[in-house]
Amino acid sequence: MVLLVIVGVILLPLFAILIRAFDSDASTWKLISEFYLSKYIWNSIGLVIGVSGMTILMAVIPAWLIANYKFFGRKFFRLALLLPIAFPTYIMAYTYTGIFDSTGTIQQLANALLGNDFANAIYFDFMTPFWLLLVLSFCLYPYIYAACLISFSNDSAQHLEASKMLGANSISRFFKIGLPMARPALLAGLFLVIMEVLNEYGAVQYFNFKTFTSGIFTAWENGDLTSAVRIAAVLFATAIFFLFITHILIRKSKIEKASKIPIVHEQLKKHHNVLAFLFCGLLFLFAFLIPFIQLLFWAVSTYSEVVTFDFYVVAWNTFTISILAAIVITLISFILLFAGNQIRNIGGKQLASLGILGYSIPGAIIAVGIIMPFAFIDTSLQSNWLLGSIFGLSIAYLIRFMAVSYNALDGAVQKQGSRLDEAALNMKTKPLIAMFKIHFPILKPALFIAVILVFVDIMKELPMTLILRPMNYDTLATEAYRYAETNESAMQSAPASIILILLGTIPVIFLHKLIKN
Amino acid sequence: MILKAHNITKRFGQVEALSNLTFDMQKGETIAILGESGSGKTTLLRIICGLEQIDTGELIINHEVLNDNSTFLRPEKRNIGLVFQDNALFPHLNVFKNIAFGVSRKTNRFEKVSSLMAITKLTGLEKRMPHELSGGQQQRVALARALATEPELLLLDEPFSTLDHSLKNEIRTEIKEIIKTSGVSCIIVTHHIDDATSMADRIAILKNGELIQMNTSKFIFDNPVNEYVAKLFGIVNEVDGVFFRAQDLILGEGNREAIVRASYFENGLFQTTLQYKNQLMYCPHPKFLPIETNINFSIKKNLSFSVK
Repeated sequence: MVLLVIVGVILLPLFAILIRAFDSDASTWKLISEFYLSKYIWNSIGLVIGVSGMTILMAVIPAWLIANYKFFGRKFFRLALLLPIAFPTYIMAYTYTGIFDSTGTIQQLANALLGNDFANAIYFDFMTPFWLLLVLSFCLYPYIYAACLISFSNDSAQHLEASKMLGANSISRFFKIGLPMARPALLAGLFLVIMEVLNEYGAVQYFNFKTFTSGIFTAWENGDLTSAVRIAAVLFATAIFFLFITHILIRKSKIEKASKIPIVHEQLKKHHNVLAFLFCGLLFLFAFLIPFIQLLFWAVSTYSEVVTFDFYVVAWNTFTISILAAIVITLISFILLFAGNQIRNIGGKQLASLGILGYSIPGAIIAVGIIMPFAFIDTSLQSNWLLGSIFGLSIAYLIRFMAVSYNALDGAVQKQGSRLDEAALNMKTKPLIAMFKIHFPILKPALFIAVILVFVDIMKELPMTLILRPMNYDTLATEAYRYAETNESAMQSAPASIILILLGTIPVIFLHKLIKN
Repeated sequence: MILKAHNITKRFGQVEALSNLTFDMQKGETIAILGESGSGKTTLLRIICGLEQIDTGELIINHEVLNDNSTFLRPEKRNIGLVFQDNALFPHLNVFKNIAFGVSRKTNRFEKVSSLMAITKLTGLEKRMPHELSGGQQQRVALARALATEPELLLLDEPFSTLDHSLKNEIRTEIKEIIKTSGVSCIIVTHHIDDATSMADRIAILKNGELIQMNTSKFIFDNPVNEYVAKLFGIVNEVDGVFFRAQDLILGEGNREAIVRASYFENGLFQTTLQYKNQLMYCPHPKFLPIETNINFSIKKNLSFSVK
């Protein structure tokens, strides 16, 4: 019963979208479907393909080098190249725009050092799809990098040694052995990248690049919820299409790996050592260090102007909603997990896994999907408990981020096996008691990690918060976005952005620990 | 001479894995490197195929120096085939592609791989993936893959350790036949005496990184250099400072008397433990001997060691 209720809540926005999409009351739909929809589709697909290609290039090469070779700075880059994942895409977008635009850092430096003519000569228009693609790739490549690094590191050394003995040089070892064996991991990472691109709102809006999410926001801001829902339905179909394709490809490329023998890292010689260092170094420089230093610089120069009482209120709002929602979401996923395990013989586990579908649904879909049932409940009860409330926003976070805590806990539960439950049953302990008296204390570290991971994700979340937040309620993410969107300079958003990025490094440290082990 | 190892020494930190190792092998010969875990046999194998470098000494194959103080030829440049302990078949490639992996595209790959598959009795399994094969089939694919590059020297690392006992004899015979048919020189690394005696023309025994004896199995059996080597070939008993093999203990005759301490059935015989004075002796016996009874014994042949 508990399981059905939780899964029902998670699937609620999807049902609502399906029902509302066929509503005839859509004032701007004709206009959207005739003039904009194809643009949304092609722009979104183009962005997905472009970012996919770019992130694969950025991720696979350093992952291979770090997993297999010794070179200068290898251990540092293993962690450092994960750091860009802490950058929300919209912050990366407006930071780079601030660096490259006509009054930005590059122009100011060029003007001051080499004169106006030189500054004019090197000026280029940054607000183009290519640079958007690059900016998104900088933030998203770590998904593939982490997956590939784990996969390459888990390869048995014997496969690589066997290929050496059969005459394969380092390039053919990469293409013939390393890459094909890492294909499932690469595809899993790529799937996350694709979902993030489809979920993307802040950066695409900033670059004025029309995709599904910007279409949803435009329709919603014009008061046409049905059109927003219909665009969300098309976006959902696109997300399902990509999910289907990657799922098939992963299944096709799955291989049985042999027993693991640790890889002996080969020392790269002279110029290869320099090349590996340069590749990783430049990637780290552009994907993290330059934008981070720029933000630090802005934060220092705008600190006194921006960090006022209001800023502390926003920070406190962000912290309280994120931590409370994270704790509740983690507890609910704990219950979902154990409810699923209790009736695993009759498909409980599969039913529970439906509850984590939300992570593969873009935030904008969840937001517009949830408005309708919320409005219906509020109207029926003559209340305003859900729509535009903290409670309602938290339910949206639950739908979207349940998978994060569920997966963190599931890993720990799987390690325990079923023996503890069997022992408890043997001592006539009821499952509910066993859950709280046995598993809860044992799983405390995993619960803590799950809370932290969800907390950071909620702090960075933008599209759902923008749509569902209460009136005049801001979080650091919406604050950073608002400053960047409304002001000509993004400088004022820097203090909020720095806090988000620093908190975003917490899961990176956990991830790095996982990779190291 | 196909291989010459001269004064090879290899250290890992403070540990000397190989110490002044010198031996050679003739073309077409099969040598078994026998030793327990940590004896340095796998290090020696990895040095020969180029996966490790020597600290001092010289390794020559077919009159070419592969590794000494100034030279190191990378593994992919050496014409050496290696069959790994767990076969290390590429899990994403089918049987045909695994075998063809190292075969140059300039040669007639299909013909070459097909003929190797026929020799190794794998015909018909071309499209199977490694995990769809039995242990014995995987072993034969690994061997065919190593032979496909026409190596000057073939190395087998603990080749039968993953096989069931029942399969082992059959596969061992098959592989020996394939090696002899191909005419390739071969080094087998193992810690099983039966693998070494059944496969090799000569056996090299390693202990703590040192080569302590190298000769034919019959010679070593008859003339072990020390107690350690003697014990590799089976149980060695000691009575009054005299060493002898279990099968040289004759029960029911002689003027010395021992007490039966244990007798249990294993491998078709009764494994019997006897006590003489304060020393225990072990021997297989065709009949069950009642515990705590006395029995006379004599020793048919003593063992003498050239090194104590």
